[in-house]
Amino acid sequence: MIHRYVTDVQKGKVDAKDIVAQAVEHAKKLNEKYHFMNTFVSETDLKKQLKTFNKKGKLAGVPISVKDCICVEGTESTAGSKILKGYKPVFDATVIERVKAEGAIIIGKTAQDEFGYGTFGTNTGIGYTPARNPHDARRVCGGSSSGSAAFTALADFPHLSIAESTGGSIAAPASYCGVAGLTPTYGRVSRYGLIDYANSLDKIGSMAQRVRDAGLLLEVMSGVDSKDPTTLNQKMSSLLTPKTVKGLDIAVPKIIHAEGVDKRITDTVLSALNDARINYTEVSMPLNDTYGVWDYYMIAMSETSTNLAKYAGMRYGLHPKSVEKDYTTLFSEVREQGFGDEAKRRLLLGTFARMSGYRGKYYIKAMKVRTKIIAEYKKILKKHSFIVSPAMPILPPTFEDVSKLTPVQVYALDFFVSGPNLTGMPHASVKVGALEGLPVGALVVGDHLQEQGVLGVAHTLERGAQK
Amino acid sequence: MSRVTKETVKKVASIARIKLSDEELVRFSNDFSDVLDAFSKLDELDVEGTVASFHPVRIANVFREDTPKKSLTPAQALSNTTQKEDSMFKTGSIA
Amino acid sequence: MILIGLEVHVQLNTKTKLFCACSTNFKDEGKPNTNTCPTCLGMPGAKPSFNRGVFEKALAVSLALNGTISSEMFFSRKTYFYPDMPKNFQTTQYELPISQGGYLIIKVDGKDKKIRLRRVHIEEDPGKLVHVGGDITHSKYTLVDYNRSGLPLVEIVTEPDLSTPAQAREFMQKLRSILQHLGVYEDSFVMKADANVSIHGGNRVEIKNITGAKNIEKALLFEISRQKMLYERKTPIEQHTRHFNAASGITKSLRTKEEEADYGYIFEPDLPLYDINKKAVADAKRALPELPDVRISRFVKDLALNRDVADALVLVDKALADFFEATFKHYKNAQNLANWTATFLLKSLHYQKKTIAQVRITPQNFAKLLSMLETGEITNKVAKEVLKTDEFLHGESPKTIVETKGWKTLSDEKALTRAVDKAMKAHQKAVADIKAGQDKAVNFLLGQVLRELGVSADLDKVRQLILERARK
Repeated sequence: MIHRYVTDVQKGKVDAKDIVAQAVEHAKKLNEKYHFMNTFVSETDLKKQLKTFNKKGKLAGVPISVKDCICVEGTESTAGSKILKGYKPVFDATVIERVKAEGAIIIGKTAQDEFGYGTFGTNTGIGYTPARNPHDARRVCGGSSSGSAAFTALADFPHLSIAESTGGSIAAPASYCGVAGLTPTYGRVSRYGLIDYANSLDKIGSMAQRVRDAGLLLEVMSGVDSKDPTTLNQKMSSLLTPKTVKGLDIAVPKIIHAEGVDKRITDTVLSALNDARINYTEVSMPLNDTYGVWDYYMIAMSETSTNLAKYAGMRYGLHPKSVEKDYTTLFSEVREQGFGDEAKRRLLLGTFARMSGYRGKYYIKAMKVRTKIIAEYKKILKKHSFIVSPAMPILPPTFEDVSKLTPVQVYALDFFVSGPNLTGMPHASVKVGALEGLPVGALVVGDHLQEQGVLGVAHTLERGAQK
Repeated sequence: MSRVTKETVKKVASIARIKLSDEELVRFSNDFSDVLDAFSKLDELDVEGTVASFHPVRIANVFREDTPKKSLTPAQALSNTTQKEDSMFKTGSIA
Repeated sequence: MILIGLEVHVQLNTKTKLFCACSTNFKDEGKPNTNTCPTCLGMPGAKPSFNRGVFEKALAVSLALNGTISSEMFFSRKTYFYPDMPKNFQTTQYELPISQGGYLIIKVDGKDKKIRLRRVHIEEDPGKLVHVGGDITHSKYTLVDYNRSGLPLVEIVTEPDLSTPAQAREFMQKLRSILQHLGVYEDSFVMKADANVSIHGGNRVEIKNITGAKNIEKALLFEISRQKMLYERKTPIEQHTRHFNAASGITKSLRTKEEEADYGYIFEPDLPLYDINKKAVADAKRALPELPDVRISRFVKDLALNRDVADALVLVDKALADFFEATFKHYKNAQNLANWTATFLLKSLHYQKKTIAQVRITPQNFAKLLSMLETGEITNKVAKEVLKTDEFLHGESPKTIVETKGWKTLSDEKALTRAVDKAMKAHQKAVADIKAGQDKAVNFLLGQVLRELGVSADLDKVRQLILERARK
């Protein structure tokens, strides 16, 4: 759909202004119920973009929503946190520069768990409302890119969303909202302008209704950036046209049969593989099964606790109205008032994990365990090329159900998505069916820089599901 | 597994510079214990001789050339706060 | 038994900051926050990028200090809270610094003393604080200028091998000379150090953030006498941190906000690993310019200079040694040139509160001055006077100055004799004393004659005349 629309804009057959106006109006109406957008770009900004956008670009005239943690110049970017309320970046993230250069129109910042700290989209910051699942408003969207997934599902006009994943925050909500979500290899897309969750785990990715369109957006954003020295500087395969893959013997992890997994979800995913005539072999992943989730959280919390140190009410975001009290009191108050529960929890745990006396046992050890889990993945991917599993072990729960879970119970549900995120491997989430009217997503994982193959498998599964 | 004491959580909170209410202290102490129990699974794994992966892919030797680029104007730098004076950021006394 | 260790912080003179491309070219006392960007302001979303120039200069510093270069280098986050810190963590080096070990040699009682180093590492400077309505120990509120935030620093950590405050000062001077000879130091830079000192095996006290070699010596002198007093009273000294007030000359205990701060170091995940291979190190070592010790040896060996004079030339200011060598091209009496450069020229500069780089004296002019002295065209006194003139400092030729001021050596017999006779007439007693063999009286009369004739009088001739005529 996107490809046809862009061609029409490039040829002058369609006026982007109309589509964008339509999109924004529709979004504003739906937002009342579904809360997928934290901030809409200002009218002035929209007008300016529509006047100057590149009509020949690969994304000419496409309205794009952006996860709130990605900086858009002049538009409030808060990563869903009260402590950043009012922060209007004086620069665009690199991915924003790139999509704008290709003619995209940024229309708003989507809802998310505060700083990315969530599996369901329910850990929103103080004063923020969680996004609701478009298929059933009593249910969660998945997180942390909840708003991006919800809006992508709801859009009945050309639209793409720039999202972000640290531990599964693209795959989980994409699965729960029934859209395509692409998470690239760590380092494929610049993080310059991304408000950090965990720097060795964060990846900016894409969401769309179709795998192919998600691939287009990811392609535009990809590539080395001198402003982010963790970007990979090597030739990368094009993602513009998903190639169907044949003759595969992909791996399916045995954990799909574990007690915590809804058997119907497993069956839906396996049926999709069969329908697509993709052969598969069940494999054991003992290291990832036992340690993957906890290794991810240990690293993520350690890194994020240092990222949160800068929020002290000084140069941006929430800050005191007067400075009569001393510095330490002032900023302790800002942090007390500005951070939500999950943020405080991760800040505490992360600080603990790198404290002297514990640092070796937790932080350093976690980095070594990561090496072992990467090795486990690589061994399997060398033999089978791809790993396919459900993205989430349960259907989207209701908000009420989620409120009854302890933090550890929530973290534990990440066991499908945390592995590829921990190891920085590219993965796609694609809708392969529905249960009780709720979408079921399959997770496709490939080795580093194998996005093209991942896209191909996801595209094949998507085609099968559409029949 | 031993439960994490409130004292430990208090100490961590002071290092992280957040003040916790009594209710939060109790709640977070329980969460702490639960999570550390889960983390302790990693104790089983022997990582002797394993090199740490600070990034999931190898990233090395990226330099920036020593060429100046334009800076922000003071107005831009200060644009996100109301607490400023004489082109400087304002905060409380550090005494 | 005094143990002193230093942690010295010096800026490297790259064009841009350590982790961003903001220019380092701004005046410290100029307009605030003119050289900042999202990275050095710690704005959410910004990322660092490592300046190659910093790497090259830090490597040179490490090699010049005889350090062992690490084969792998990584940055670390050191988390603590202070308003001059834009991210509330400093990006520095902890486990994997650029170099470890090393040493620097200072002269103590005429002998070489090796001061061992623990490490050299790279880190970023924080911003600058203004304490409104007071100082660091008491103020109404704080203002912050982030121009300095992100400037590239090397931190040089010594073992506690220094034994006296004077040695600490020598160390700083030698270090500065090394940095000058490497070309990584600017005169406008200020070297800062944290000094750790303990006496008689007691706890060590840290004095933080002392500016410049002289203050470091002063601070240590005060602190050691303070500790000695406590020791005599049998009062135990606790390990703690102090602040030195340069104006009052005393150290005061700092109410430490962080107590035993837990920095919770992690490896900086926004920056890559850096491999430093043996070939790169060897190339860098070969490319090092001539360092002070080698230069001093060369002056002593090749130019037959006295060791102390060579030290003074090289260690006080590299630019002075450069000026000496540039002048040597035009004036070949090395010892004389060295003496004049290291004493009278330096004195004149000190008096003007200027460095050689800040004045426009040319090597040719200085050479000419000394030639004129050598030929007797001017007297010793006149030469010293010329050195003090504004004209000479602004680049005027000594010939012109001497002519304008009428300072050519006055050796006309008639004029000298007239003045001598006048003085003898006015001071008969002195004449009598001379006849009696009192040399002091000769100097007295000499002084009187010079008062009359001025600095250009040929001293030797006048003295000769006085002796002749007085004894007649």
